[in-house]
Amino acid sequence: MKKFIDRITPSFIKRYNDYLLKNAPLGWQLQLPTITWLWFLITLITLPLPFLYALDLRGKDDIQGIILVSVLTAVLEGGLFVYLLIQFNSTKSFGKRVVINGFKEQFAYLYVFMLCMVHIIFYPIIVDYRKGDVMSEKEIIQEAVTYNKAVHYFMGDEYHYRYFPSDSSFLHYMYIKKYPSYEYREASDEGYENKEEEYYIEQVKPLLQPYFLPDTELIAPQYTRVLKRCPKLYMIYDSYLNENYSDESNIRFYKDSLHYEKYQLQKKSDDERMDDIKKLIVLYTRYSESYNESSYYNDMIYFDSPKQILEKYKTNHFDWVMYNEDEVSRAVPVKIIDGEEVTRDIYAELNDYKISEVHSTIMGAKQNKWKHLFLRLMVCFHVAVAFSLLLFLFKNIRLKEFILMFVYPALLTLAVSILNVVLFRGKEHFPIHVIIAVFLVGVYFSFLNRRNKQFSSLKTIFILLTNLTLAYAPVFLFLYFHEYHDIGKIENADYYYPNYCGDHPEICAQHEFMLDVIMQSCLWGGIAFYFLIGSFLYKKVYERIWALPLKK
Amino acid sequence: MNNMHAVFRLAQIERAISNKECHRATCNLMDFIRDYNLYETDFYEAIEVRKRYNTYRQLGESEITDKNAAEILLSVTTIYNRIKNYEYTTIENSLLESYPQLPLIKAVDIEKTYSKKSKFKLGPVSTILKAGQITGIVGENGNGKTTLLRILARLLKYDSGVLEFCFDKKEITEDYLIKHKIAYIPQRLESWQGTLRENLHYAATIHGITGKENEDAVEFVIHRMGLSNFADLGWKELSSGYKLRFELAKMLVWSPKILVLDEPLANLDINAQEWILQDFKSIAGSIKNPVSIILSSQQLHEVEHVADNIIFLRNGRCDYSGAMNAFMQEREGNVYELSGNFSSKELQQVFAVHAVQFSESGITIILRTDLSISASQILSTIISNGYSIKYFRDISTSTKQLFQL
Repeated sequence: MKKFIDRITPSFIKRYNDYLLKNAPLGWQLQLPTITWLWFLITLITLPLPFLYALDLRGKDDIQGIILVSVLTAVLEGGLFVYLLIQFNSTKSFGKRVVINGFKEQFAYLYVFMLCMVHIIFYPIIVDYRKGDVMSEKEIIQEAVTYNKAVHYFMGDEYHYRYFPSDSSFLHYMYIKKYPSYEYREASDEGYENKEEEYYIEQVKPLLQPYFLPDTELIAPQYTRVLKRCPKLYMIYDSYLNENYSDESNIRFYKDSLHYEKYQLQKKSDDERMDDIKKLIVLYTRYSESYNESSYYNDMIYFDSPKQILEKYKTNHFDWVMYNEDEVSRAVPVKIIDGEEVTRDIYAELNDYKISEVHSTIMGAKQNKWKHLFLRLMVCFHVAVAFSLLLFLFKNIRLKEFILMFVYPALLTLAVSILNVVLFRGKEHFPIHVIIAVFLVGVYFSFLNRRNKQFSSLKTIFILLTNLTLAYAPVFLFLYFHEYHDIGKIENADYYYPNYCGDHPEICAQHEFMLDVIMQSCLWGGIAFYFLIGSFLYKKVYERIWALPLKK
Repeated sequence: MNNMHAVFRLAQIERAISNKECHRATCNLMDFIRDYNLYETDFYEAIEVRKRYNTYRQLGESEITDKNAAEILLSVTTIYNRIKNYEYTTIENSLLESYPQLPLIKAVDIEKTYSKKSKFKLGPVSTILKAGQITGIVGENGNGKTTLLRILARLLKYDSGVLEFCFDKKEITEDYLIKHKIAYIPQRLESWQGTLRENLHYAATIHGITGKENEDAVEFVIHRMGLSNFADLGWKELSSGYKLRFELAKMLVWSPKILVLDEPLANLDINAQEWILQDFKSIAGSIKNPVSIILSSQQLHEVEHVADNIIFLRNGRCDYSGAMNAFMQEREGNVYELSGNFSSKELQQVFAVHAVQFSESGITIILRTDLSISASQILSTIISNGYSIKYFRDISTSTKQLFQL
């Protein structure tokens, strides 16, 4: 392995490594130039993957696939880099102590693991870019309008009307794009819900007019109820919303009072409507060819003629207009199975084509790629922090204690779980306080109890556990006081002053904001504190305990 | 004379040249030049000669041809003739001024038990380790040699007693700083990654030797320790003898204050043992970086040959701890170990008129005489009675006789 790596490493890196070897032992020990070079080579080899990976325009299979490939690459890279990182160790050789070595070491490990994560973070965005470029916004708008103009002719005999299938998620993204602050707002109570609905009707709906039918007034207000996070018209998870007819007793003869009578009949001629139907058939056909799943429907979809479709609609007979079989087969909608006649399902449904899914996927790729990138960055960063912490511990302590660090907490968890059930009836306070006690004991052994005469395995494990959790300890403590002891919770105000938030929404909003700020400060402050100060303090602790004589 | 040490060391070089000992001559020359901080040209020239010598030896241990030996000796002589005329008084005075006067380790009544159930107990052991001295720990297997070494290297906790470390005229109590100055080489050497040269550079750098100094130190040590032909090899490519030599080189490159070796001679052939022991002597005897070496070994006579102090352990108890040359000076009789074409009964008849005791240890016969009977008398008596002697050793001042008790 070493020889192979040596062979593929250019001479300028070898020269630099040689310089580090003779001048900066930690730099050489960490092999950062070689690791960076290897990462560069691996990136060159794997970079075509996100450009060549088959796109999934109706879902996230491509993103999941490329993430899986990236994770595998990261695992292999991680293995290789860790192999290079663990070969030398100045602390275990009792080399000259340098105060900031712990800090440098910890950052180097974070850097290395973040290198591994780069593929996971950035390869999916290449796929997202490719997906986003499949259709322009203009094309999607055009298709959405085509869809909206004619979809009600294709409803079949469903007992419910899928109203305004302009629910193409595209509109949702347009909405988010325009009003991003709405994206994550929870409409948790009535007051907020009304407010959002009002806001939507007054502010947002007029902007959406180009994507709807000409008379936008007709879609309001009954279809604009606010759901969590977005207006009902623009669904995230389900592209369609169903609205039951008011009278289902004679469904096949019920009129489309929601749409046809109020709007279509008044505004368009038959020719215009047939033109709309033709366009939608073309659209269906296109999607059946390019965006199909492995469904047998797609290869043999048949439509009634536009004229027949319109006639069926005008008679208010909600009848099938799309079929999976041709006219001859349709005439005999039965088949023989084991000597018995069974009815065949010959009707095709609108959902089989899922135009809005394609729109949604493409617009999702267009609009959310940076959000997803940020999300992946955050996840990968925390994973890298965790691995860098583990490697830091592995490098600074004996293998036995490193392994016991996992074994003892597992045994402790088991013991605490049993005791908790037996003695405390499964209440949460016992485990929480055991965790805090372990952490505090670790802090004591790390920094306060410095006069050890011999190496102690148990004390070392406490120290390791504290080190491992120190970066996230502030978050834990915040949650402990806030969630467990209810310190700083607005519910306390409600106890003395019922419906406090209803009466003082601004104060409650500010309070929530402040809590969020404290939470984020604890999270990032804890990590920053550990990396900037904790790492070199712990390095000193490990130097001290590593040098302690053994009992046996 | 204020430069006695230099004169003595130069005389050693001259003697090696006149005896045509290429190995010794090149080693002594290098050690001398390194100790006395001579000119860079002398330093590099000495390294070059030694490097050439190592190249001629190819596999490391084989002898070189007469022609090559002559070439090497000529080069050494040229350098020697140049450096013997330098002035050494000033530098030697400064080196002697900084020479550690205080003991590096002072151990008083050290005791250790592993557990309450265990019958083994080490100590009490007391000893003093000084810079420039070699201390040998001898004793039978399982008598506590490794335990004592590990305690002195601060790897193992002791139960009672006092153990003090003093480096650079200061008492050091922090474990890391103590270990920073001590090199411990266990009997079973740990494997390492990378090449031998990389490891030497690394060992020097982590001890604060950087840049040009680092390059020079490593180059010096590689050739000095006869590793020229093995510098780019890894752990798996080296024989056990060279692995030990590498460990020594690794220590030599950063000059520890104390070198602790557990059974260093165990896996070495006779020649390698001799060379390593000579190297120990050279490492310890450096005037610039004097090292206190403490080692355990079963090769009693070899160890006694180089050791200044000896510690004899029996069942964990310290039977003797002190200077080698003081051992049994106040004895009541002499002890000889011998073998030949005779039995102890036959010898009893030969020495019937002398007050001697006999004991047989299977292969050899032990003769105990009073002080008036010398080794030459014993030998002449045996030979005059028509016997031939295969093996004879005067162990009157050797700890070997403690094994016989």
